[in-house]
Amino acid sequence: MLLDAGSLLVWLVALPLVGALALVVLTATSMELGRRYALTTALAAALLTFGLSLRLIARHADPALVVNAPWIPTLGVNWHLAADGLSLWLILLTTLLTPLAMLASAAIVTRRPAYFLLLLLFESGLVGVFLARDLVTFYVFWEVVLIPAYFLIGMWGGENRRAAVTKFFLYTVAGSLLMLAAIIGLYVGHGAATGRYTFDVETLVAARNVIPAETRQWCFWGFAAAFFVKIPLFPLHTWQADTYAEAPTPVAALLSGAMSKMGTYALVRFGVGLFPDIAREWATLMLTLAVVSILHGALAALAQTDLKRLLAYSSLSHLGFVTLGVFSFTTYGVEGAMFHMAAHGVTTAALFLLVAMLEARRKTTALADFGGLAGAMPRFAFLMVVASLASAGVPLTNGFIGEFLTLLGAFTVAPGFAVAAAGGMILSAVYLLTAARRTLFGCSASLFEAPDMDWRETLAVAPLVALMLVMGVAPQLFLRPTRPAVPPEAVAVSRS
Amino acid sequence: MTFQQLLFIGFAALVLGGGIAVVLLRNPLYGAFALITSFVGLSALYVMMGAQFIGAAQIVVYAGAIMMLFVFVIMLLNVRADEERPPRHRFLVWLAAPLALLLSAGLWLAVAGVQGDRAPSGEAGTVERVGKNLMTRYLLPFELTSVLILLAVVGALHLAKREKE
Amino acid sequence: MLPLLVELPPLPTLRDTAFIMPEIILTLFAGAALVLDVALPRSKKHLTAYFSLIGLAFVAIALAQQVAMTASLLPISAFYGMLFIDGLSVVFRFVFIVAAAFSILYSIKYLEFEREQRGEYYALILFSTLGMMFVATSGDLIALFVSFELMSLSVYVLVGYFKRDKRSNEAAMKYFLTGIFSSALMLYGLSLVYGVTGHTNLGLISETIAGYVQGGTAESGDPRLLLMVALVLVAAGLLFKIAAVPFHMWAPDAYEGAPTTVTAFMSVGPKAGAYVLLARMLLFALAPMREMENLPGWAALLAVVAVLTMTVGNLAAVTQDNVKRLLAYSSIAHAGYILLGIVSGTDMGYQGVAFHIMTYTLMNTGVFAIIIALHRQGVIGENLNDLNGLFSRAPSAAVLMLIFILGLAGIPSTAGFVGKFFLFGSLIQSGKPWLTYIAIIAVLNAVVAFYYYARFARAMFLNAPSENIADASPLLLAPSVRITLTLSAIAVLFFGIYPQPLINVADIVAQSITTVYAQSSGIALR
Repeated sequence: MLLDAGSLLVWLVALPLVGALALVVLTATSMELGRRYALTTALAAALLTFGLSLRLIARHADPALVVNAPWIPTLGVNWHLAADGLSLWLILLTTLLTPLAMLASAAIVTRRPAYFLLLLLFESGLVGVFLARDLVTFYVFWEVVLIPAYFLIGMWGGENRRAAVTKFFLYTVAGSLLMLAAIIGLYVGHGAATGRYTFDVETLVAARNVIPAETRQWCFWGFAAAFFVKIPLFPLHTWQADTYAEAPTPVAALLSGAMSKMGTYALVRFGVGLFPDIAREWATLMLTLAVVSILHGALAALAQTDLKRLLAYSSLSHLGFVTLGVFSFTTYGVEGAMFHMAAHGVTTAALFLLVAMLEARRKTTALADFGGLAGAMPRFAFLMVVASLASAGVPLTNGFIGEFLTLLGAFTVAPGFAVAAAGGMILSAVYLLTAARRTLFGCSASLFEAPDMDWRETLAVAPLVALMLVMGVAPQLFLRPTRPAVPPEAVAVSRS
Repeated sequence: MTFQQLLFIGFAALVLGGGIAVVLLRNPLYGAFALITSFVGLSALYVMMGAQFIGAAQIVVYAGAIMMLFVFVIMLLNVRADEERPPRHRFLVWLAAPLALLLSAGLWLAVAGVQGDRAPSGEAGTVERVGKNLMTRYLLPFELTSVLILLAVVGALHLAKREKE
Repeated sequence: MLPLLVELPPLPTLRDTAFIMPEIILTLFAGAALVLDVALPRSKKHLTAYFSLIGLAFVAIALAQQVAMTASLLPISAFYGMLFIDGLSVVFRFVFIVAAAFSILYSIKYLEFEREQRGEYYALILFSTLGMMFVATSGDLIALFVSFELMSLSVYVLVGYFKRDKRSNEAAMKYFLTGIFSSALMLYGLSLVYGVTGHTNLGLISETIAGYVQGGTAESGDPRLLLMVALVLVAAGLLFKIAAVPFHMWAPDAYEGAPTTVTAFMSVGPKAGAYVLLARMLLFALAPMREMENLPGWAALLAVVAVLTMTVGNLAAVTQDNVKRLLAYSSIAHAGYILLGIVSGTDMGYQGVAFHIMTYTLMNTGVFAIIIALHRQGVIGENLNDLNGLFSRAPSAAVLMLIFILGLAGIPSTAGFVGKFFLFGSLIQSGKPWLTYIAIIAVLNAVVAFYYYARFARAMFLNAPSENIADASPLLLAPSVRITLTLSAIAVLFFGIYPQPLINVADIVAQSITTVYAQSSGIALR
């Protein structure tokens, strides 16, 4: 019982939690032991996920990978977790990025045990979000992610962290409470119509037509508010740059690499899954917002003088492609969106981790303070260039596949939007390569002596860079398991 | 109009007049006397309703004992008439008066909705009846009240006791 | 002519007395605490506190035994309907005992520090608890009012317990004056209820009013208007006690001025008592007036009050810097949430009310316990800035406080979330559009609340310790307090993650409200 397929999922959520609890006990004895222990736990979770994903890839869909037990029977809340092709890459991404971020956190010196404990909590919450199939379970995990994020940014962040974290907190909470209202609205609407009160997503998807249209309309916007804040999508993005810039850089890697995927993932699974008709009705507006996000993010990134802010705006721009793909309602678009989520997670996390290494050496992330690093740090320069190219969407890298597919999807239904979005792709090449050029090459080589990456730092980034290339060269490997899991509601125009 | 109704109006006027006087008079001693007047009127009303015991208790306990204490305290503390305070909230008077009128009108309207004679008959208020009721039906609240009095004594003692240090 | 009490009933029997065994024990212990105080030397006065705690343990045991023996007989009526025991009374009496025990436990060191260690303090808390327990078990207006006054009067004295402290005096005076005024209003309302219906028994009142509301008014005019006046007066008195807007003005001053331990007590114990009385009046006696033809029922009035209460409470809390004032406004806001459950009129709403009051008791006493502990060290006062850097100075205290604050804010995975979920959910579940709009207002309110609760987290974890703290020694909690707080925090998390056991308890309350009302003669005379 303890080791059947379903309980694997529970373990996946519980392992970091148990680790965090044990950390509390352990740190009383030794600080250093705590850090190693946290890393071990995170690696164990990564291995577990890896094993899980092998199983899932082999079978496409695994009906055994489900756990569904009553949680609050009075309300019809179930503890319902399941893994499929949609969640697969995202839980892999989360469990992969967490240990890497831990490795790259050498610069964190104060209150280290608490830091690692919060990272583990963060991981547990994220995995829970990607596995939950009951709206209350989902909501609980969704909010739980916020608490460690709040403290990670607030306690170890930069100068203006307090203002940034308050903004982040209020934006997110406002969005998610509206989602809560919408969840209850759906629950009541479904219960009133069928007499069966449940929060189960599959039931609600199947029976969505019995709920009154008006209820569904405002429920959709409740969900959308929460997701659009989290992604973020223009005009709800104003918290993002401040938060990413003020967060400790390894945490920023997790925020942009994994946490932002909560929004895009939920948009596909819940936003479109529960309200396909309404989503389609508003598709033009959504496509517009996506394109505005892409262009606004790219243009703002061009104007940044700080590496972290630049990456933050680049994140806004790239996640716009995901939204674009989702709201194209085509097979290419949605598959591309799913692929791009994972691709963007890998690439942006790698970039943030690289920036973290610069920050550890020079205590700054301003572009003007760097230059000519290629001479002093060749290994760093190589990884940085590859990651920048991948982020800019150069062929043979993962960024290309994701953006190409979403654009292809968008082009079949709305060519104008696709063309505008392609402009964003070009801009991204400009700002990323400019940034890479200004840090790595250029004049002030002699001014700046720094040790190259040590083995621990290399270990933190090299797997990600390798993944970028693998994903770029063999995308089918990643697209195939996702395909059967794409909700049929999300695809109006299938591959002809 | 019967004689009884006339009597009622007279005593009711006494009760209300006393009450209004308590609010308006600035000298606390006069205020205390006005309160006694009001209580006397009230006890007369009780008697008219056949509640002789309550009526007597009203006189003995409130008008007699408690008001005596009040007067003593006032005289011992030598409280003088209120000084004229700066009219900080004068405008509230203009707000309060219409509201009070409105409330009275509403109450009048509400009471007008209720018809019929609802007064209990003459026997309910005899000493025997009250005593028996207190010992049976109302035993629990009666005992609770005694706890309440004990508590009030403890509280008053605590607040009034002089510190030794 | 109303029927006379012609033949007098016999004296209450031993059977009746058995039903008030917990209360009798409590009275004995409260009285004994007073005597014990005189007998103990000055250095040993704190033993009264432990004596009171033992007393409360006995009360809890007696109550548990009563539940075990009578669970299948509920609802029980005794003392000629004066005493009425149902699920609601059982559950809330336990809540009161817990609230009193926590308050006493957290007070011991505080009073020692303030050099105000006296037996009266604990006796007053016990007497107040006695009042609350009788509020929960009264089935008659007279018993209800007397026990309610017993509860309130003790608190008036407790608020002014620090005689040398000007703030405490002022707070007591304000609280007392406004409190007795509201009691008088309520009493007037109750007298009108009696005047219209001719009964003081809640069940009989309910039956009579149901007759009037259904239109049996031909021969005796329309008494509904007078009932409305009575309702407004009674409600005003009760809303004052739970500090609902517009009767909330006293709360911040009283909370700030009172000794912090008393603030902790009055924010959970007497407040819960007032909720019970409100439930008894509105959901039992005046239940037929929820909605009436051509007239606004109390549901509409209470809905307006609830919306105002949570909005004003939350908005005012945002600007506060004094922790006690902030928590006063936060408790006003919570009163608004709880009223929503009563407004919704569904099972889910009543479950939410009971659940939220139970968990709120744990969370609020927890927060106050830590503020009390801070004060005790002479390090930290009552300003929010004084919490700065608490995490680096006292990690365990900061983490415990954080859990309670997250609970108050209603973050998922804490018990506070489940309570809010039930309360807000019940509005939507009721299926009435106007209640759905109120639910949205409530959700927006929760966002505002997140902001000021986050200020606690910010002060404790993100800010550096203030320079002006003279004593930098680490903050230590007394072992008993530490254990209690840890258990409360674990309970807050446990019931957030697995709320079903507590929901079942809350359901006992909800069932007793819905079923007793369905057969409203349940409270009638024996």
